[in-house]
Amino acid sequence: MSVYDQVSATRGRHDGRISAAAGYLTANPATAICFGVLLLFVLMAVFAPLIAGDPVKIDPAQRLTGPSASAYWGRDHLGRDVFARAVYGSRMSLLVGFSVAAIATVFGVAIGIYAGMSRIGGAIAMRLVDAMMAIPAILLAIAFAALMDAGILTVIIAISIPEIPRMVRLVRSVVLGVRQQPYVAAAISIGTGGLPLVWRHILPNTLGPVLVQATYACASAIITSAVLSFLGVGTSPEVPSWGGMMADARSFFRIHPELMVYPGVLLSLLVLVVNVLGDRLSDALDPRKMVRGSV
Amino acid sequence: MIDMTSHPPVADPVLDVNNLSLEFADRDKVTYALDAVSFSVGEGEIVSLVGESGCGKSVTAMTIMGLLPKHGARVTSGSALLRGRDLLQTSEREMRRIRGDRIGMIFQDPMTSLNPVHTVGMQISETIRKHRRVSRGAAEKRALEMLDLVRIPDAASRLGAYPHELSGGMRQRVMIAMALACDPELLIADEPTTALDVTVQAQVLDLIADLRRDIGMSVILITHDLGVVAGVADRMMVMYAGRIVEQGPTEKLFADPAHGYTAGLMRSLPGVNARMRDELREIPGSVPRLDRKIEGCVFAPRCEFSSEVCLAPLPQAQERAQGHWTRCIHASAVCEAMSDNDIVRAWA
Amino acid sequence: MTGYLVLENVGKTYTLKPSKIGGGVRHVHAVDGVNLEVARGETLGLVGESGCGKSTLAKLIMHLEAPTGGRVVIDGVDHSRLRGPALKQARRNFQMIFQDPQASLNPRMKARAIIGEILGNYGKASSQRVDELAALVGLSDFHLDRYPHQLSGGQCQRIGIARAIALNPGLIIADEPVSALDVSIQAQILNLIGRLREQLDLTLVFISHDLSVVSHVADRVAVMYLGRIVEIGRTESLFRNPRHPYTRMLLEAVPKPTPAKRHARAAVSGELPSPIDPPSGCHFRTRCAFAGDDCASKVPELRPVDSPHMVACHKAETIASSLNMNVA
Repeated sequence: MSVYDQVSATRGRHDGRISAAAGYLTANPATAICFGVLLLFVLMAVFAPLIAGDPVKIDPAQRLTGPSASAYWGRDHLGRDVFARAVYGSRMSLLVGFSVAAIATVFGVAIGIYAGMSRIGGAIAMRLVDAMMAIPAILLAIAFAALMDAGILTVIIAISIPEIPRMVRLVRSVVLGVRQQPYVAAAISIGTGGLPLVWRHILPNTLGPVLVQATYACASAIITSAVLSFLGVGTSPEVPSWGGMMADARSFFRIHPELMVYPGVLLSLLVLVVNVLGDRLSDALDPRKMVRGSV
Repeated sequence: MIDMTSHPPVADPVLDVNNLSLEFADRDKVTYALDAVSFSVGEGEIVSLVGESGCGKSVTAMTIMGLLPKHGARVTSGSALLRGRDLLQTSEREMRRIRGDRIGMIFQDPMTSLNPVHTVGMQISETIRKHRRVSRGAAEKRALEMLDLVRIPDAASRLGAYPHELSGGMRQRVMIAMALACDPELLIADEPTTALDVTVQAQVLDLIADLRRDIGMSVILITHDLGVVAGVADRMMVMYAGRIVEQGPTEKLFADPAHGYTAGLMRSLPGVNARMRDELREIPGSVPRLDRKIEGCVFAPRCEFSSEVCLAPLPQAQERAQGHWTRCIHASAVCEAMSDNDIVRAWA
Repeated sequence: MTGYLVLENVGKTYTLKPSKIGGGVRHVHAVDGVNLEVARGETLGLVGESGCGKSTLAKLIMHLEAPTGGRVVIDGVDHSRLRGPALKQARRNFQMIFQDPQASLNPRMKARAIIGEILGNYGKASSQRVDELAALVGLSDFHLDRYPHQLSGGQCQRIGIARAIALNPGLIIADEPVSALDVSIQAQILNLIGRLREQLDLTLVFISHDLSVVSHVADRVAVMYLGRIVEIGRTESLFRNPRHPYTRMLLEAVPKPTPAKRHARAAVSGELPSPIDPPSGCHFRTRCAFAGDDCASKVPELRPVDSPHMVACHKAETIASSLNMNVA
């Protein structure tokens, strides 16, 4: 053990193992708080019907009224319960965030590993990725959303497509690093090849940076979905979403700024929490691996 | 207690380390990294800290230089006097002035210590100007002198070279030049040749020996390689599990090792002229974990000479001969067993 | 002699992309026309400094890289032409022990799975065999249920060795197997390799930069310099009577544990030239005190000086006689 190892041993063990990383995450109070907040958001989304009333019921008589026992945060310009819409809006954000992270990871890892393992296929895949990354993600998402029927699935697909190339790039660069590791040469020399080589040796050692990237993809998808709702693309206006609420509140910002503040604060808080968790995760995983994984 | 801290006295030492103990504290565990380390470095002397990885040789050097992280590492006792001034009681600000000025340092991998975007001439003269109020021109002149001193051929043109344009051996020479630029009283070399090929290693070791002869430099040479120690060190300290188990003049230690560990190390060396295909004498087992204080001899569990008494609280460091100290109770038995030191003879 | 491992004029040339300033494609002859034979059961030591091509040669033998010229024949099979399943079957017969014991083991697999993988690859998965192999290399159940990072370097190397011998290969390439280990652990691993070699009748190519380690294990030693073998001979003969000036220099540079006989000066001169543009003729001539005109113009071939001792030096006789005169 060199002195440097001893020094790092005093800072906690960086074994590059996800289980160890989990222990590291929960040990830190700031991280634990972020976990707690994220959990609250999830609970809010799951148990929305128990927490809040009907988010779509219109009551023109009570439009723009202040907080009351039936509507804690008041009512919007159509007389809808703002609190209920905010609570239900978390469903949209979390669903889109998690789905996009999952889709981008699955496709990104599959394509990225292929691109990292095959010379010709890799070259073709990377040129496609370059081309896609040349187009701003939000434009790409709007274009896809406009082409397809309105609905949450459309939003998820539209946001996932621009996220995939980023993941592909990351995965490929990590795979290129992992392929240079002596244990891969060792695996080839004992006759492991093709899919087993990828499955046993390449994939498991790629997952650390991928997990971090997935959290970032999740945060960015939450923002993009809010932007799409704000622009009125993707889902129909009555589906409660924070972006849509902010778009509605725009016209009344001078007289009722709180209508903008509620969804805005929730959105910022959620994105912050997810990003912090991503940062902590990337710290917790083997730092040497992270260097190799950075694009 | 005096027995615990005793070490061969050196007249007018440049560095005098006394009873140095250090712990690394983690959230849930403590590592006792150094235990009562004591040694001195005399004027113009090359002493070697030798041992296997994790034995504490690098930690000792880092502690002396004040380079250990502030939280985590804790000096629990001892002093390190540089010409009478205790480096362990010196503020970080002061230490920054002392490092590079009164103590020069070189490390295993010169590439990590050199800035890749600056020329070597610039880096050496910057080091000088950091510690001395001299003009840029004077610093550059000094840099050229230093490159000449470390025998870099065609030094004037190498001043403008970037680190990546030099070979590993040349880079280590540049590091030595930089470390010596301010005329330090002490040079600490941590595995300076480990990353180098044998032929280059031989050149760098020759250089260190020459510099000692020419400018009377005092050197602490940290290495795991007994061959390197035998080649250049005047005295050696053998470290194991955070303790100096034996120290003395290099020739004496090689001729009459008086600690089970030193003996074990020497016997496990494959010799160039040893009979082929003989089994090597291995040291069984592995290094102990240092997460608890070990009362008795740390090497006892792996030692072929050990007995019950070795597990009792630490044996006194005993002087076997002039300046040759060992912490082994069975020193005489070890010496006797090693009297036919066939490995060392096989090399002769 | 028909060797168990035969290298015929094996070469590996890397092409460097043209640099922005220099222009033109440049080549590095990492391995340059190497001819070697290793008999069954023999141990060949391969020594040289970094960049001499010894590790590239190991990869060529292991078919981890394809040679740009020549043939590699193991036990009569020229595997450089094999592909797919045939190559996989051939691999059973030659295995490698790696330099960095920890890095050569997948950090996400337990020791048991690492040793078991090779058995599974050839339809011989058996936990009993894994236990057997572990016992053979001195590991217990305790070690088998750990991940590499929970084990010491020596223990990791034992796992690497167990994996290499799992299918009773004929040939083992050991690439610096002890250079990352401490002296006391090094002795354990060297003894283990030595013991297994006898037990399993292995043919061994042992690569190292450490001459004392090589002298301990090898029957014959080959010295490489800038991609070429410059001297090869029986270990005793090569170490006692080196004929190539580079071998001489290497031997003198080895730090010896004999403080009493501290030599005045290691006779090392010059620096390793760049492998991109090595000196013409004999690559070593720029550092050689005996170099003459023909050393620059003619590439010295390996020739027997004291069969089976071979050297690639035009001046071997001159050097020998001049040194003898000095002695006299």
